[in-house]
Amino acid sequence: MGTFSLLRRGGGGGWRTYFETQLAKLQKELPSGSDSWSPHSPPENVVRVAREIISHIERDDLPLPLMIPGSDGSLQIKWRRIRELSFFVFPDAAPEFLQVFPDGQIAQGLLTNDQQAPSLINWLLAA
Amino acid sequence: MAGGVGSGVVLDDQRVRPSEKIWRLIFSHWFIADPNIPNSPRMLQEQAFSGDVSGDVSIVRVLPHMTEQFVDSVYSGKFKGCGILELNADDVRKAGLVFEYDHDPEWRQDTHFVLRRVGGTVQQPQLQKKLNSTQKAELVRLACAQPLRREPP
Repeated sequence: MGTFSLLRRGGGGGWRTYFETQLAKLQKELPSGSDSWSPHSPPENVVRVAREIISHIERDDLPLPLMIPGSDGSLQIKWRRIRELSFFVFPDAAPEFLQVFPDGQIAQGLLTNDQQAPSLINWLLAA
Repeated sequence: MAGGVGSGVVLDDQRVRPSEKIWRLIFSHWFIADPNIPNSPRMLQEQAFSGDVSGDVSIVRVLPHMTEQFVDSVYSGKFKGCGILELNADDVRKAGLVFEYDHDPEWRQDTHFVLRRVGGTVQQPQLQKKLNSTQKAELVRLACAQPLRREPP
């Protein structure tokens, strides 16, 4: 916790407000369900897990996330800097992360504990 | 359904010929700008290849009947004005994906396929329903090598 406090810069974490605004917009705009062609509204279990992941991130100095719905009701939360980081939340599977390095290298994995998201965010912002 | 699973079965449907063009429809939620950079260009995102709950990511072959006007007309205009990403089938296969036929009369015979990844072992390869995140990112990389054939609104 102390480490995170030291890393905070002002700004009040406007990215969290943006996250909630965009989430509400997707839920309002898109149809529920699933098909093989078009984006769908994230169902409640996806929204709940996405909020849980976000709740573990204490840093306020994040850029605004890109919020991208999938055709299966999944949700991608993505930050782009020199590095890229995405969290994928699925309606029927464990959440995943995707790291894209500046040289194009890609790494993916499952989010299995509460500390991974903050750690990955630190990786994103370190470069 | 063509393809199938198991030793000795061709998993990749060869109706999709080498160097053939395929189309994936792109909705505006998948082609977005970075909200942190004013006037930044819109970019394709990995969720464009998310598939449905069973993992089906639809593509269509660019056969002679496949035109933008035809896309706009199927399913009573459901995809009218939708963005169109054109990819080379060879490039998709190089990304480790295969094609499985999924008959959909709306698109006509031998036209509608779904993307699959191959898992299992060399001796017993199996079609895996869902693309993984790395494969989606590889597809985005392929897609970003050229402009969309048609941008979504």
